[in-house]
Amino acid sequence: MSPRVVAWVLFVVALRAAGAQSQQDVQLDAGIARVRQRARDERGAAILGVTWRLSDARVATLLSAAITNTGDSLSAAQMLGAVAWRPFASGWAVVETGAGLNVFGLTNSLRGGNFSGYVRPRVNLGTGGVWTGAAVGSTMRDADPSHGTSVEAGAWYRLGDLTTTVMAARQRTDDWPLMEASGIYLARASLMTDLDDATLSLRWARGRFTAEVANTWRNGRRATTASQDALFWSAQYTVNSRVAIAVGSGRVLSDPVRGTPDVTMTTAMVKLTWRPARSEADVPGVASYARVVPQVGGAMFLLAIVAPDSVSVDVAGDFSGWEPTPLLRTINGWELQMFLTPGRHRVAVRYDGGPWRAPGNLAKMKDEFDGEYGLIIVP
Amino acid sequence: MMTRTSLALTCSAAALIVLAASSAGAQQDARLALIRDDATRDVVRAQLVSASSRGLPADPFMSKALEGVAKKATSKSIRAAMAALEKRLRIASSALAPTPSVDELAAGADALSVGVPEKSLKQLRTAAPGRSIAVELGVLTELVARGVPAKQASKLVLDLVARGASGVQLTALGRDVQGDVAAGLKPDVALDLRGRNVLSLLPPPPTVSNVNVRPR
Repeated sequence: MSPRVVAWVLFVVALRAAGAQSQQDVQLDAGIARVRQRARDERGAAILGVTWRLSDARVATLLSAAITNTGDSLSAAQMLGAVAWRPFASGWAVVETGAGLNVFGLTNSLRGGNFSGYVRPRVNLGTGGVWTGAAVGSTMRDADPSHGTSVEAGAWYRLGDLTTTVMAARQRTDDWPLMEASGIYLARASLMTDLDDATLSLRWARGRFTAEVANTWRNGRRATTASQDALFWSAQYTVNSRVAIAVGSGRVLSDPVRGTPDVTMTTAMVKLTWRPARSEADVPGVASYARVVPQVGGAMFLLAIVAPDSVSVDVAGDFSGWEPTPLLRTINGWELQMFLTPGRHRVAVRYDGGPWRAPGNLAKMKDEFDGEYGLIIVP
Repeated sequence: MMTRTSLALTCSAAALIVLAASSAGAQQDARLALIRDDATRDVVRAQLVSASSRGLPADPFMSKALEGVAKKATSKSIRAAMAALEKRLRIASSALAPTPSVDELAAGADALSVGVPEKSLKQLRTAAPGRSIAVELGVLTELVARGVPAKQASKLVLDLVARGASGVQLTALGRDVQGDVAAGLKPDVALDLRGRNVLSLLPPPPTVSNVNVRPR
């Protein structure tokens, strides 16, 4: 199957899935990249990916497929299926598991492929959390089979707009063609390559803008001689609920479990998302609470919103002339504080540009535009 | 004969009225300019003219139009929403006569939209003829929107107004009912319990015996 046919199939699948009405969304990523594999010439590439997500309060499912077309034997396709399960309603524990398939040498001849699987239990502790994980993968490259394993542990902590993540991973593989292509050699006779990775990443998100930088340090262990580090940065601007623009650049180290090579790349992507209109009631994990505290000459209106998966939360009402105003992101979610004069006030919130809804516990009024608003009475 | 001082005062007052009117007009034009779509702006302008000719205030219409624009409604739905609002405001204006304020009219229109009968608005006006009942109407609307039957909510709010309950007491009642409903109580039961509590704090209602007693 040619990359063009694969691309069209992915596109049609995305459109069909987007048409279905349930708690799901479909994201289509399209972009260009300059890719340079270690010890090879730099080349241009076209990237097309489709991601489909379906989630409810307990289970989230993700299927994704991507094709990277360099016009030569480096072209590849990746597929991933993953399920995240929250065993408890409060969501403090999550068990994530998934399987991936990579196909190498897509354009000229199928040079081989890789099949991998992983399991990753995670514990959310307020504004941070910890996880551990294990992964195994088998690679067939030019009729030569190899295997890789990885165990990892990590933690993250969010302070305001900044999320810091640290991770340590120990990897083992007998995929020597991949290791040699990545500049990793064995100092003495050994069947296996042993690697220790440490990664530090910083993610900053405010409003529609997200930036991330990650550095990985890799060292060899036992018979393996390696000392590498790789820095990759990316930034994304969410134009609206459907469109986002992302750029990224840097080096990505080889992955012995998934059989992917050591590459330096620069990418520019457009991300298009189709999702059914979502309200507070049908977005898992979203909750809002409004409080009106009487004060001299009016009342203080406090609105607190928890929307972990939302990129933006807007509020509008009589007080803003119904001009949508982005809420401030805080350590716990999104917040609004404002003084209201005595009288009747109408207010509505929306998540990721979705439909306007009455926030949390306010009296819900139909708005004659197939939506609703919340009513506040200040004595 | 008009003295020089009274003439000056009259001229000043007239100038202030003209200034206020032109300022309100300028504000309205500025808000109209926020509507970028020409067709929608024309619809809103026409509706404002129609409302003005019937003596209805422009503010509730302008707010409804801007809400529709923010919610990406078509000019057709904005026209329909404004027409429905005009109908409710006319009923509220008649029920809250003789001189309802803009806040009272808007609150009355809200109350009608959730199913409060026109008769209840008239009764509330009769119970509190000389003061604004915008907060009372707002709390009544909140209660009905939260699921309390309109008849029960109207009766209780009327009782509370007749007994002189303050706006703070009424809004606190609305908050308490909301908390009870969130905790799982039925809205009508919650209102009954909370209503009794507020009524117990108020002075007894005027009766024939204590109203008509005259010293002999």
